[in-house]
Amino acid sequence: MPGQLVLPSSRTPASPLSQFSVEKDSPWLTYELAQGAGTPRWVRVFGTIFLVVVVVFVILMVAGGTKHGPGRHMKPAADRGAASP
Amino acid sequence: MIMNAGLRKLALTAHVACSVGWLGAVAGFLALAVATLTTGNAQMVRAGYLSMETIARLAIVPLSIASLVTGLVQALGTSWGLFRHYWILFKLLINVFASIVLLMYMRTLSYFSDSVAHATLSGADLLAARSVSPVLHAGAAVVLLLVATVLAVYKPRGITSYGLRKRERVKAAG
Repeated sequence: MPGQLVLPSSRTPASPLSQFSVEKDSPWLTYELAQGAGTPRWVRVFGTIFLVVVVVFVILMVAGGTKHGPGRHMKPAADRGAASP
Repeated sequence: MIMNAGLRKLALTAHVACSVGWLGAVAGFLALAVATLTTGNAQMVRAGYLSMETIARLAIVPLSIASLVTGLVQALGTSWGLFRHYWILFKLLINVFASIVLLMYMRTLSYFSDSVAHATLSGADLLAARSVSPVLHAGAAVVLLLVATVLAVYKPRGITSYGLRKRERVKAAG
């Protein structure tokens, strides 16, 4: 049946995977045995997006240098008020 | 060390509570940030910044650290591992990245709350202190934490090369 998970015969207590001390029908074992080799598309998409976000963050931090900080987020009027006694 | 079933459920419960609690706390922070940005009431601006700093310091930061720690326990104490599956790896990266940005942003939040705490500030000064920065940071955090939640629930398939090597070693050993 399409979509139905077919587990290999190694899903027995005597299999090499039994050294992980998991129950025979544990979600992990079912999931693990259903895995195939190769990088899924979602990983490539997520990885690219995450990398772009991190690079942009680092560039903003580096480019901002000493300018980046609390004062950059606040308008001068409140700054002047905060500085007064 | 692989945890037994009872301990595993306890660790999972702690991790879910901390992670979802973190998301909820950030959502509360976002509500305050939006209200502070859009209000025309100067005292609301003062109250908003003071409340945001308190929520971040006493709820968001502790929950983010607790989420990271319980996640590490959950991954390393069970057969899932930390680097075997892409979804777990992504959750770790999201958690670490969000925590770093959060800790860096705490300095800005303290600055905001210290600035508006002065009783001598006029209403115009307080209104001038409104900033879109907390809204942007909290909005981005909500998106990141929602992605992490979706990954945790759906567990999309994908095993890392490290996970594959580990599985092959186990098979070869058997």
